[in-house]
Amino acid sequence: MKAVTWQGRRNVSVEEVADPIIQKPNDAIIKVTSTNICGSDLHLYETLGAFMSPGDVLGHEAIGIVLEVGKEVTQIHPGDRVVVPFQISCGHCWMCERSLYTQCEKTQVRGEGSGAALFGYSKLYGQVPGGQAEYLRVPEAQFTHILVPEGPSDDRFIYLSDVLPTAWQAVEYAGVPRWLLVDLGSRTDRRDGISDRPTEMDRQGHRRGPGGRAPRTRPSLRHSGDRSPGSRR
Amino acid sequence: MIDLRDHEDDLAQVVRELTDGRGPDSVIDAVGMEAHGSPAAAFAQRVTAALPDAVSEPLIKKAGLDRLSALYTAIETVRRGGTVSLSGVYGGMADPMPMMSLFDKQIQLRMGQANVKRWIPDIMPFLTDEDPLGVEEFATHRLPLAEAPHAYEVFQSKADGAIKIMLKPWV
Repeated sequence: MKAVTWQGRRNVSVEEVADPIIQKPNDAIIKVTSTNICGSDLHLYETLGAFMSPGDVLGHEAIGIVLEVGKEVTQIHPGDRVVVPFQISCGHCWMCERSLYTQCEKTQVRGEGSGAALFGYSKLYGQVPGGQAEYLRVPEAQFTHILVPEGPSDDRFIYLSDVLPTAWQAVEYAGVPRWLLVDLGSRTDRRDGISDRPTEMDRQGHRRGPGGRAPRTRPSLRHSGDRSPGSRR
Repeated sequence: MIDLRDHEDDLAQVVRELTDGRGPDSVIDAVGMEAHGSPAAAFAQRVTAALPDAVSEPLIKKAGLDRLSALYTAIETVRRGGTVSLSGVYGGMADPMPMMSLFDKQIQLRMGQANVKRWIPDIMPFLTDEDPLGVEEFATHRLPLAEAPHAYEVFQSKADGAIKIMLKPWV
């Protein structure tokens, strides 16, 4: 299959590599339909080369279709549409029971003193081949998946792999007791790669999402329009 | 919204003026260590955390400045007894921290990579046709997987308005 591989500082290439296969009974193989480049991939691209090896397959934001599952995987089936979380977690260890999936005790990379293994994220995180490829082997597939419905485009769901939960957790952890959030320093020229439009400035506060519980604040990925520097709202 | 470019030196003060002189209850730093640019030296130690870029919401950005300045600004700006939440990735093992301020101001510091599946039930109801989060238009580029080297270059240099690049393996 074709895969995006790290080759050196600021040097990635698309190479032909072996198709992934089921190695363990709780693996799954996904046919990747869309896969994002993450801002944190740039850490690998630029500066974390010491922890990468030429040929490592990058990527940890993928969505696709289940092709095959190991015999212990009963939660998903070939043909299912899944988003793959960036972290690999078992779902039933001490940490996972406490929803600390990035600390999964089954996949922790203890040799490096790191938390849960991550897709495509250097030997610090287990050197697991990543999702910027035609196919992806998903370890701990009984839990490391998010089942999503057929129909909408990949854009609808792919950000569940990383971007949206990251933003959501940041807001939850902030424990905002009131609902006015002020954005500081967003740029209009987008050069930093982060969405310019933070939230819908959440004076709505307790407004309920459709069927969801009330988030105090709501991350948004929408880019802002033009805005004069120094403007306030 | 306050534009940081106008307040590089007096940000904390400006924010305090808007918040009864106390500062905000919470500050989110979604910047983390600089993903591009300088300081390779800081990584020489080792990396403890890595991952996700944080994309949206209320945040303090100080792109282009020293890599800890966003965190320092957050600590300076938050009110006494407030919370600083980090979603930007930090990786230094010996970053100097203003312990006196942290202790004296009684600040809570919360951080870590997102526990993805913890939040899916909260987020999923917003992924509707109405698209209140703006996910459908978030990607600025959609490119074949084969063009990944070019895509990385564009993304790294933020050329061509690149904010998010999606690769398609099968087109």
